[in-house]
Amino acid sequence: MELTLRFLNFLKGEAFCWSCPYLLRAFSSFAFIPATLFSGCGIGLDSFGTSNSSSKSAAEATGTIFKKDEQGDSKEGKQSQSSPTGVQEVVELDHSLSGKLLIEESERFRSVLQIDVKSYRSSNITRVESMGKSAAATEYTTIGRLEFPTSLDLLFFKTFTPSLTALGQRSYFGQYEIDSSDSTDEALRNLDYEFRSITLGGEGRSNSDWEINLSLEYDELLDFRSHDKLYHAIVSSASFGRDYSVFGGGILGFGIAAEYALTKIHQQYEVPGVFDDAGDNLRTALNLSLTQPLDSGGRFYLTPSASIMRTAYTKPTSTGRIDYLMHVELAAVYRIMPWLYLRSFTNYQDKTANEKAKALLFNYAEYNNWDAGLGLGVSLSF
Amino acid sequence: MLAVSGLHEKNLQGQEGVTSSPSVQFLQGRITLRSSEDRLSQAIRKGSAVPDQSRVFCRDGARLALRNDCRSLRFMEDATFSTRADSLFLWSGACLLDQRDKKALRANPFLLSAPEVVLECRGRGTLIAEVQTSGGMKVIGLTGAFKLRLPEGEEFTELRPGELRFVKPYGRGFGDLVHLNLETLISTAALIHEFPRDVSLDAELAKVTLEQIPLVSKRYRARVGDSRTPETFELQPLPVRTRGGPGTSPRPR
Repeated sequence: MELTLRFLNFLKGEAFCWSCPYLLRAFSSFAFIPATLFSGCGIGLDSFGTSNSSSKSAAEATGTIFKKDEQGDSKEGKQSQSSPTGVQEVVELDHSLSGKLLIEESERFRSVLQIDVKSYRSSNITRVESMGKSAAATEYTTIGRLEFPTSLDLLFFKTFTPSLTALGQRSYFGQYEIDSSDSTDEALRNLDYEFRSITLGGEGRSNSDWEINLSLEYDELLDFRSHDKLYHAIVSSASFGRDYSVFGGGILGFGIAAEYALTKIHQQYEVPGVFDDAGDNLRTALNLSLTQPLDSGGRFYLTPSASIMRTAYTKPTSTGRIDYLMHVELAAVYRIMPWLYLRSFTNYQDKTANEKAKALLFNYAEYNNWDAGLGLGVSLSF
Repeated sequence: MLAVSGLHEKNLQGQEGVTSSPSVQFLQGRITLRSSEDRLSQAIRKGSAVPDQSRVFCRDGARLALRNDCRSLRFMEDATFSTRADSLFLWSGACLLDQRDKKALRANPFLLSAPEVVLECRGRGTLIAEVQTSGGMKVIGLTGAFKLRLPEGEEFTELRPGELRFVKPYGRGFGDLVHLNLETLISTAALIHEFPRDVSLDAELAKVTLEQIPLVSKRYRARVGDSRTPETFELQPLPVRTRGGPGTSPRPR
């Protein structure tokens, strides 16, 4: 659950503020891989040379087929695999490509719908200092994002793209076992929650390629069985970061984020200290992530990431409380289809706190936890 | 050839001053520039504009990228050309034209010429052009959509990603449409990957490659070669090792 919110915060801080959701970051970063794509992918391709189609191809219509020893010296050898114009392999298509540029798409309204289902095992489900019990969790996330047309040369930004993002997430705990030691205690149902947020943000890119993001969002946490609101928050945030090309096709992202949350608690969540609901707070974070393609086809990515977050409570009763959360994750994303992806991940969280937090939260002030699981997601662009 | 050159000159003169002359953005290897006035060869430097009355020769290991307000051009060894703000005369070799910038829509159409053909290129996108032995030209769409027109023609011919058209010499018009495998083409074309990385171009190329994959209904063990006579072009057997193309060629980026 904390992971969930931390994950959400990660989304807020890194992804939505820095161009796209974190999952989508790996998912969409194929865009940065020069397209040595999809060798041998199974899309119903015939084998080479099966030119027994009843329809006459363009190549058959006008081409003169030369065997290698008949080619003469005109351009032979020039069209090698590293020639200026490359290997021009003839194919037949069902229809021509749209010819729409990505940059043209950025000049209009566009929307993305992402639905994600994740199943994982948490080693310390109640987030207590002494190692708690393990349990499985299932998480359903839906994200809808509307991006406005990108403005060019606005103030000190080279490009600036406003966006509106809505997120809904539901988590269920202890419904099944992943490991025989996992708890399926009925009491774990009390941890189930629904989180909703809506964010109005803007992503700007400076001439030096730094990304600066500003956003204002409304969050709320619900008990979806009783329809009771547990807390809500209004969060303003600012972050800046930059991507660097590494290891050929890899992208190293670095970012710093700061956000201030005005919160109101309606009802205490089952486990204290998990959500940042104990009063208004200032959160600062340092994020580092790598998106590294593992195959020439751009389908398989490794996405290690690390972040450190500091949350300082400013009022009312928790004033002086400071939490530190370190989050390290290793994830692999496989794009089954351009719009469908499979994700496996493992992450470790280590939370430490100051004396004030320990006095307030006792056994819940500090903890460490391992999560590992699988996710399946769909991402559709319109 | 003279007639074509004359048309090129005429058109160029009519467009002078509309767009800035291209300047050198990147260069590597042996590149020389010869002025048509004094016939003297001179070095070409990064940041300098390419003079109008000059011809550029790309020799061994040459990599040259030019850029102006709304377009960029790439050349490699064996390319010989003259260029102005909105036009390029490609005497030999190949080039990559990138005019994805929105400003290209407001600028004059780009005039692309080979020894025996002149081609008007409108629209936003990226294409590769190569001079053929016949004196014509081969154009291959990479990104976006171009509208191509011959000087004597009224109608436009569209060129989309993965589409190849021969522009036949002596006013014989366009050849038939041939579709190319973008995955293989993009991963093996040195005009794409032997230049400093352009992240936005990489993104566009990845997009079209992904878009084409589900549309491919048939692949042939053949590749398009040169056009040595006005009405024909070569189809060469594709070595088995090129199957799946990209994996066989290390990317030098």
